[in-house]
Amino acid sequence: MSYYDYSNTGNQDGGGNSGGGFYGGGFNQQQQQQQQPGGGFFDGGANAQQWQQPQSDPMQGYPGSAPQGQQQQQQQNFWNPATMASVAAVAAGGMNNDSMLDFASNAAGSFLQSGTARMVPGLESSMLRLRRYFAVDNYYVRGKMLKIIFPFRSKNWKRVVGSFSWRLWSIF
Amino acid sequence: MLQQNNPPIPDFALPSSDENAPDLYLPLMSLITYVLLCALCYGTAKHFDPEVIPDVTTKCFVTQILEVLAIRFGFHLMQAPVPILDLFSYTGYKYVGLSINMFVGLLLGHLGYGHRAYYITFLWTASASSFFMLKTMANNIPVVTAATGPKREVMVVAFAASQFATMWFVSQTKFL
Repeated sequence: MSYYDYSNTGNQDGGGNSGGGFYGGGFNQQQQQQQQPGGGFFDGGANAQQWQQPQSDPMQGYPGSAPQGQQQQQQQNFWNPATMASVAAVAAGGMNNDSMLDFASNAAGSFLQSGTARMVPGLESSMLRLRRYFAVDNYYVRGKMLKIIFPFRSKNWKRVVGSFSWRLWSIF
Repeated sequence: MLQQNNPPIPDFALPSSDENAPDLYLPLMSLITYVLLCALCYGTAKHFDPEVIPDVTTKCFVTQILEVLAIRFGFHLMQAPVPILDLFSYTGYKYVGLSINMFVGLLLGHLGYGHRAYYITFLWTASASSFFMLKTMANNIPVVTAATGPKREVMVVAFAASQFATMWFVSQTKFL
């Protein structure tokens, strides 16, 4: 159900049904129908007629169009606004690359903060310790390899203390 | 008890802004390169076996761990603080030299000079690694060490010599 919620809210927030995005129009109508109050997935026989309705013409007005607004507001309360915005951007923009990347990096970044990562003991602290050792760039790698192979002519062997960069300093 | 007198480790700059900072990217990548070059060397001699790859990796890694433990123990005797990952970084730089040795040996192996080329290159890269270790350790150990511990100069030279020995030990020249 939650997956359907994404596409539905996305279309509502990001430019209506005209974009449509990834999903076809008719398919969306079906999902909206399923989200009516009381129209849950497992409610049983009482709502059986709702499953037959989408097979009629989807462009005709549904009885479900009015309660949709309330449903929308409920969802706004439940979901984090930032998540809502990124999900809406993904759904409305037809999965364009930037928003997908944004969403993926947000998800990866929040993984360490989430409960799942905390279940692995020592993962966070060891990642934070290891991160310092992999903060390299091309300039550093080239200079370091030259220094390992030809160390005899280098003069400077002291490590830099503090956060200022001697490379920036050497420009002046 | 020993830890109480230690000065705190200063806040060193990251590798991207300091040429002398230790990193783990180069050791990791050059270890992988070295293992693959060893596998290639076995393959050109028609002796390749998939077991070569874990064998060489284990040999290198176990040697490095023992070396790091020995150096850490020496630092402990001198009461000098050092993070253990720094030691993994410093001792891992020798794989760069080993990869170069193996590459030169493979290139000239086609002409029949594999062994000779390997050992001539080995002399250069091993002494370069030892010198690198010497200068690095000389600059990392604080000038004032424990009065009862071993001499600072002796330890620095011993660490540098251990580079030469371990590089000799993990060399794979059987099929060059």
